[in-house]
Amino acid sequence: MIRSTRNTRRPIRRRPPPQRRRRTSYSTPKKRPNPRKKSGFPFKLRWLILIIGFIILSYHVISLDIKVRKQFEGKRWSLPARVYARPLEIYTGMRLTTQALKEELQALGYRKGSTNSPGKYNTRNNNIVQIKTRAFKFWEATDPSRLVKISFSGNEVQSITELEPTRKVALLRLPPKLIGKIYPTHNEDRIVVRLQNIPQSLINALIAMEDRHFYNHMGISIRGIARAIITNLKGGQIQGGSTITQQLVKNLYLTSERTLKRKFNEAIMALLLEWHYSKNQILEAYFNEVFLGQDGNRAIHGVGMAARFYFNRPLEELKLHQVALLVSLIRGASMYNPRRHPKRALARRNLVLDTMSKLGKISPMEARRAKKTRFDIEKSTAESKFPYPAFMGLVRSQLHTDYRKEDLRADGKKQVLDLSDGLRIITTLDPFLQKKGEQTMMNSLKKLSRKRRKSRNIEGAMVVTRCDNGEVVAFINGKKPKYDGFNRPLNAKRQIGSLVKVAVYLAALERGSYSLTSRISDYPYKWVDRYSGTVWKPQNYDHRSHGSVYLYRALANSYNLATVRLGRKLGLETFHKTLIRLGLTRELKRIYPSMLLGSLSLTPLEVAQLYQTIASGGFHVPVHAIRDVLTHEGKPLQRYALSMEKRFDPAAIFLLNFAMQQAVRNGTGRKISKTLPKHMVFAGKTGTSNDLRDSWFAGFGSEFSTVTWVGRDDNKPMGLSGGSGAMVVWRNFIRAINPQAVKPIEPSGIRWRTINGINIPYKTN
Amino acid sequence: MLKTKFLILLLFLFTSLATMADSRSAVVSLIMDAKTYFENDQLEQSAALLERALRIKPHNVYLWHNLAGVRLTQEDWNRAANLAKKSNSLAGNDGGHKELRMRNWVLITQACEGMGNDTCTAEARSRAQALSRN
Repeated sequence: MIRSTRNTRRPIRRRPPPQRRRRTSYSTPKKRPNPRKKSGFPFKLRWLILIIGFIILSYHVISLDIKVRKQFEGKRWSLPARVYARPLEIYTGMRLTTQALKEELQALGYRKGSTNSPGKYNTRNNNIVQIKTRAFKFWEATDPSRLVKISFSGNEVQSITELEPTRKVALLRLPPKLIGKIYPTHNEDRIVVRLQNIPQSLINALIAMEDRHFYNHMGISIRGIARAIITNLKGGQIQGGSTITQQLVKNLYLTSERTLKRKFNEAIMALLLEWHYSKNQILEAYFNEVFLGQDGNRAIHGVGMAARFYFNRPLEELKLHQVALLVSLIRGASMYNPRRHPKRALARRNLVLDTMSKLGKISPMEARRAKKTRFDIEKSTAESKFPYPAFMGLVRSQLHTDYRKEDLRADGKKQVLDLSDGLRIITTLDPFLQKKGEQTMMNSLKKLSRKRRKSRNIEGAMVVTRCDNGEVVAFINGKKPKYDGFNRPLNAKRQIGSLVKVAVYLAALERGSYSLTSRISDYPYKWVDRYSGTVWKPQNYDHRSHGSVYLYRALANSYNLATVRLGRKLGLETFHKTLIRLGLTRELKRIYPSMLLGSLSLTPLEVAQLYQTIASGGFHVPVHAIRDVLTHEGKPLQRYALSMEKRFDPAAIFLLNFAMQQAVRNGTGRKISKTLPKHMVFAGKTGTSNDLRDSWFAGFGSEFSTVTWVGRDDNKPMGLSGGSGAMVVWRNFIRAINPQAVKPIEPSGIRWRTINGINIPYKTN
Repeated sequence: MLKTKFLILLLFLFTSLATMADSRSAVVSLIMDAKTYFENDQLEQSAALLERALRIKPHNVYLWHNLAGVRLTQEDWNRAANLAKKSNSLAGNDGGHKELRMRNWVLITQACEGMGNDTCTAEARSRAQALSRN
């Protein structure tokens, strides 16, 4: 057997006993041979190694300390911006049905039952609704949670009474419905919660299950680390046994790799974290960081979001059995997923309850009762898919238009509006009108597509705005409005046909030389391009010329020849300027006479802007989808204040409005408007592009302005004119929502005269 | 500035009283809250409340006028002038709103002065004077 010299034990070198040095003043001290001198170099090396090692360790610890503090004190998480619909304002005398209110409450996640906690409601005799509202921070004020009773009389709110204390209330604002989220860079979803808002039972459950000595240790568990080291030395993987602080460090700063180095860093960082921050701060961070579920590519982080995701309720409203379920997910959100593995999840939840009971955190009775309770989770994942993709596209588009792109990034640079800060964006969308619009669009397109073979693949778009403030209340995209596909109201650029004619007639009516009863020529017209020699001979829809016609009739009947002749007389530049004043922002490279008849392509949203200016009496009001932006904590950040600019003489707009009323009742829209209630006053204009490729209708009453488009995505003819396609959809929508449509207010300087039995307004100055 | 604010405060009272016919109404309650914010120099909050009221009663000429007043106090001249014009356009031919229309023209005059637009100031002033004479 050959023995390796390596294995030969070295003899133990004994050091000679230290000798005392005697020093006398008379003798020079003799230099004794230092036993270490022989191996002097190793002595120095040891110290050197120790010092270098100390420096490296110190540097490492300092760098870890910087990392720990920087992230913990800075922005810890990227939070998605939360987008809300408009809040419903309920007031006495308001037109509202109990059914509509119930739908609104259900959409907000309110539950039917005893109104002893926020988020509950109940009804009596179908004319009284009692609600315990949830608090919400709005731009100008925080609305607290209230217990209110709303009484209805028919389809009207009769009274609103606040209970506790009992008093009449003139106005009640419900919190808005969450309609979407905008994720900044990745798909982590979380709602940050403060420790004071976390139920004590949740804190107790966490400590019972994850770290019973949390309040006594300094961040690490010596026993846990020792076990980990032994396991690692044995060649196994690093095992658990981490404290809450260590788990937080792992989640917040480190990767999930299981190595001794990571474990070492984890321990150092945990100690540093405990050194710098209080137990409460650590606990709060943990509750917000912990991973609790996966929904497609969306990761559910923190207990605030998990409460929404599993129970569709705010954290504060959770019961003991729900709290226990959340804690049971910490060990394995996928393994104990209550939707996928209910049995496994139930066993784990009950273990949490038993442990709490064993530690005296809850009574055995409470544990027994909670164990008997079912999961109580929402069947579908809450806040997973949002139903208004087209409107969300509009919100994103407005944000990107209003803020430079770098301002939207979480890159630490100068930021005006950082979408990773969990902003709350309050929008203008009215879910009730949106629902009515979607239903109308789907049903109407279904019926219209049966009319002709060509119409089978028709699609549609609708933009509904408030006349006076330009808020987009509904934004409907096609037959499948929930499908996040091509955003037609926002992006479908189509020829607008006769919708453009209002700009010609408005330009004329602004001039003192034209009135509604001015005679204009509807005789055949020919235009020859001086350079190319191309001849353009427009024709009326009925292929006839109508001779000399009243101006208002030319618009009401959408006569092409009269419009072209009038437009040419006024000048193409005047026409173009009028379009710009109405709100056209798209640049037109060259203006052709054919544009007078609508050979220009715009999106439904752009058309909505043009008609908004007419609907608001000549005041240009930007069509917009966002009201306010608040920080994650609810502090006001940005407000889209009501802004307008007077661009037209209200008297000229009033005359145009009259001609457009004639278009609806007696002109191109007469067939369809017959089925509308007589008392409703609407102004509108149909539009049809060449070969019946696009069908448009833009109309408004005193409350809403609506632009509707129907056509095929492949731009092929589909056999429907403005009156037989888009106007049908609009009419059905009006019947569904029954809006206010009263006569427009008569501005100063208007007089009336009767011609051929019709009372017609005119301007006096 | 102080003078303008005092004037606006008076306008608030005037318009609030004018709409007090239905004391329970949501709009009056919002106007009163807006007034409180205005008195506390929280002008944007005051404007936000008036905009809420306008969503309920979009054709209430007093609300438009009050909002114009808040913007004037904020020295947001252009917006103030346009809001006052909107109030006037909704006031229509009705002689009952003569006082309000005159006040709107006074407000527009101040806004035009703020913008340094002499033509606009002169026109607005003559309109205000014409209404005060009639």
